[in-house]
Amino acid sequence: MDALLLTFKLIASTLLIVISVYSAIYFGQITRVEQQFGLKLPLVMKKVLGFLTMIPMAVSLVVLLVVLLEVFTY
Amino acid sequence: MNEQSTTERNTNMIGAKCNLRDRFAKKFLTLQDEHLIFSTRQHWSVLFPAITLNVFLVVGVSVFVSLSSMIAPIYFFSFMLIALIVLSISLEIFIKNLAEWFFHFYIVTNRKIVEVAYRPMYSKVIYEVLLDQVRCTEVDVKASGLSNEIMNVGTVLMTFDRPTNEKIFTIENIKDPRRAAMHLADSFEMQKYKEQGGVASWISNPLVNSSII
Repeated sequence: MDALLLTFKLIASTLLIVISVYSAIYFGQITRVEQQFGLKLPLVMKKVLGFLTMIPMAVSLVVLLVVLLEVFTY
Repeated sequence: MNEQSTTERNTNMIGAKCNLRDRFAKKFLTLQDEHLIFSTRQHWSVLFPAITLNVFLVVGVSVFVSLSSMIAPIYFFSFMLIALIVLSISLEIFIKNLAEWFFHFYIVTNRKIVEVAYRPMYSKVIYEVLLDQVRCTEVDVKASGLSNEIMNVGTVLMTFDRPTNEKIFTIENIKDPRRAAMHLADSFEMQKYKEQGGVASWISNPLVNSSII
């Protein structure tokens, strides 16, 4: 059961990292398009994208740390 | 002089109904004697499915986490992780839809029609029809569905008879499509009269015809 839970946590944190990296790239692309067209996206949307980059990354790092600690202290 | 002031007045009158910022839309005025007729995005109601999906997901995930935590409180952290993943993905999809809606717009001038559809990270389409290179045979308006009827949202279809093939250009899900179609029809008429060497007086002010609607 512990091994299953650890695997789940590993997969979940990897997914969260993928999501946050995707958000960061998307954020960069949107900024590039904004500069290209001279159109500014609503600030709320950019903030949400920022949160989507930061929160999953922070959570996934914490989860990874916890998983690694559990593995090494097993 | 008199003609110039009439043109300026018409441009201002028409410019008032532009949904995009005028300064931005005017970047696309590159041809000689070109002025903006209207510029628009799709109506925000096209985002309804994405908004509804997100609301359902947020509610569903909240219920799932609270119920699961009551049944198996030991796995609370894992349930929270699942919730975070689902919410992140749904928000990501919503923002993608919003950005694609934001960067998809139509600009109609007296010389050309431009459709810009930019999907960040995926595709970029700038579709431009020069009105003096084509012959427009039909300008149709289509609105279907109760919500579209209530909010006055519809699609304008223009059939162009090109030298090589027939092409239908669509301006999808815009507000007040009949008015837009009227402006477009006037533009095509004006172009036709210009080609024939004259300008029809009733066409020089498109809003006169639009007031019929």
